[in-house]
Amino acid sequence: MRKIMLALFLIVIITIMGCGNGDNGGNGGKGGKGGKGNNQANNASASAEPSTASAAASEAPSAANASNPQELIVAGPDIAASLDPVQPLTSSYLRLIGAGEALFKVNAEGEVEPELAEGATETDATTWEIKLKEGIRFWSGEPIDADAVIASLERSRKLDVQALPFLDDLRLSKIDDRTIRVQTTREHLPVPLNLSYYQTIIHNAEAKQDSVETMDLSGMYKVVEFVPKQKLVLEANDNYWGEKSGIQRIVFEEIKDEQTRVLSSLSGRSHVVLNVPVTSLAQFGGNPDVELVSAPAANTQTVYLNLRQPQLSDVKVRQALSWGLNREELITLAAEGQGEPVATWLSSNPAYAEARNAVYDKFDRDRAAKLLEEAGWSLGKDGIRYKDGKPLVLRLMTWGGDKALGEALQNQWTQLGVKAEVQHGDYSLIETARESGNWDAVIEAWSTFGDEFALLSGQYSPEGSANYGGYNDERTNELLAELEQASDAKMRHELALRINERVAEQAPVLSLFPRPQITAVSKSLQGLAPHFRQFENVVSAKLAWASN
Amino acid sequence: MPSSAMKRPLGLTVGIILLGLLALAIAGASWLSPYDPLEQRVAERLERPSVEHPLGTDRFGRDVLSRSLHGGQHTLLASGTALGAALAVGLVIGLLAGLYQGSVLDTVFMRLIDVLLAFPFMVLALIIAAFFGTDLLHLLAAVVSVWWVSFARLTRSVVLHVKNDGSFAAAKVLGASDAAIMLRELLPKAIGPVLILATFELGSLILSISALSFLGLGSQPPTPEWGSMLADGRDHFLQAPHILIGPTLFIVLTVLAFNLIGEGLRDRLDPYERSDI
Repeated sequence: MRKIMLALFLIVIITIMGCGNGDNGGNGGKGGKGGKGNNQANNASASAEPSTASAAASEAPSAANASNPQELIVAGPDIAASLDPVQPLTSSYLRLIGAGEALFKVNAEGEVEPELAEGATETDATTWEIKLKEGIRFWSGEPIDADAVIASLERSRKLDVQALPFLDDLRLSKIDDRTIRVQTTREHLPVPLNLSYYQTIIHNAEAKQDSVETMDLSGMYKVVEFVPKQKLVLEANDNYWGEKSGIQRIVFEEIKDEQTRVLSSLSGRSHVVLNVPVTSLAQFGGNPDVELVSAPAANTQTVYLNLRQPQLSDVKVRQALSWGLNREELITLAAEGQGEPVATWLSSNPAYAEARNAVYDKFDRDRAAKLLEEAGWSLGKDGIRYKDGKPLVLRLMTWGGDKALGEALQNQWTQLGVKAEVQHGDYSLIETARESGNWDAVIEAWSTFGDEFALLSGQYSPEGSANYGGYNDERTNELLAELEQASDAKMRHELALRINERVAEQAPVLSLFPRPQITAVSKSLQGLAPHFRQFENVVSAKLAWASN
Repeated sequence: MPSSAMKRPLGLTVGIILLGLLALAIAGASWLSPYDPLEQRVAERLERPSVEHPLGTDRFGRDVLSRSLHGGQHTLLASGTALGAALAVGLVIGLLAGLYQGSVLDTVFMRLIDVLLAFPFMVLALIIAAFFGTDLLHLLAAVVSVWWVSFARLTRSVVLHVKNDGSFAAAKVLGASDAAIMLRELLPKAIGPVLILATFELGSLILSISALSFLGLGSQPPTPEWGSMLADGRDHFLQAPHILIGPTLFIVLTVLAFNLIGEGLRDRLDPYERSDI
């Protein structure tokens, strides 16, 4: 009988919730919020009517502001388990919150700028000289000179596995107190870019980095309290060498559950909330106190195809799968309209946005059907294409939050005559399938920002670590060899574009759209700059309380 | 007539009528569904309940009512199959353990049951999914591998009770084989209580299969299934709660029907529950 009572109770609760949200539903496809253009501007406010929850939140006073207007509260899905920058991901949190700095940083346009460094010069194909800024100091007051920088980077190289890809090819030596010579094992390595990653933040190698009292970094904020995986409290570094922020105190909290983070923003408890799920955008609709900052990440949602499978070894079939994709519809269904289609892999990188519509400039199902016919796959009575009596089957493996994307892809390919099957599960299943070779297609979203050769060779050279499908194209390999030797930045850019286009034509992968990246920001705050690597670009000197 | 006696047939009757209606709706999903449960209509996504879509549409613009009706076929088929398999395994093991009470076979079965009763069912399902992948067959394997236990225990206890009957002793004296005793003497007497238990267990089984599908361990997209429909609707819970109402309603009503029938059958067939004894 208890089961019956519980069942009845559940019905009542769900019915009440269904009735209580009446102003809010049902406009996903027809209304403005699901539309294509919402994300064209970096600052996007959801246009749907406010939900009951958000309306209530907007009427309530901002809890954080009311208690302490000088304390900025940032909420993210994760914070560090340690304070030592060489521990996994710790340096990313320290940089995000303004405690850690590297020699260089990357701006929102994808350009490398000096941070602790004053500049860098490539003196020959394998040598760079980096000049440090004058007067830069750690929190302790110790000067950041060439010796300190080299000691910091050597410590990262020794202790942080994730720093190795950026430091392994570099040999550092001191020229004078403010100048470092960097010799590279590969010609024309973009050293400033390598030294802009959070894994290379500069810390005092002489100091013990594992406690608040002894850790020693260089940022504009000093850590004053730390509870692992809970919160990090920081205060302004009065002795900071550079431009200071007007905010005195920051609390960086871990709120794992995404819906709780959303509510924390709507209630005014958190001023900045990272990683807002796209499915929650409607909750922010019309909220006067919160602004949504949407800066697509430089990660392309990509379908990787296994070219070793007979049906996918034919380039026409792969091209047909790409032509048959309505990418705008995919964005609506799987990303709630947050994003712009990208038809080539590299074009989610702001520096290569020009290649966004290269090769597959529109959705063309007829062309896709024609290519499949040319490849010998004829439409059967059941709507599926056959060749030599065998159906055209494609098993798409998805994991995490990509189930909806998988279903949307499945539907579009099914309309093309492809018997698409979605297998959604744990990532370990994908890894196991890849090891055994028993897979057709998987969805991944690798970063497209970084050294062009490292990125493209990793994806498309025969020995590339992310070349899961066994792509081996002679022309691509030639272009990669040219890219490896190219000294001029403009030439490298040009070659990268040509490789990107060649790969799109050969279609070993199908590029879809950049991964959405949405941050909720209180309107009491100003100066948060949208960035394609928002996860390490929240706190800056520009951040300040709004004057009103 | 005592008031309790009045209530019992009513619960059973309501349960049977409810189950009958649900069975008709679900079995006739192909005729009753207003739309193709798999067809995506982007322009109609997340629509609230209306005349066109009585239970609204999901994030892909699919009709929730049509998916709920078709989803019932998969959920009930899976639950029925799992129950049938668990029942068969449980009956055989229970009969053997009861017949050979005190033997090594009995000890092994009973200790195995102790272990399985202590093992979290969800964890076992997750382990199976991790090793063999996520699909309905693996989900059923996980369910059956645990669910037979209660049937085996009940069957064994009935067998132990029947072994004290004169008919059992007579069969033994007349030289009947163990197989014949199991089939002709023990099974007919065990089947009644086990079937009553099965009616109750079916409700729990539906909830468990839906819970596993909710976790992504059951049917794969785009196949509609109540648990996976709930999981898919969770993302839009605050924006479009109607997505959850359809599958929730069907799960609750189905489990309710089976529980009412189970309680009614128990009241009618269980001698310890009968008020006239």
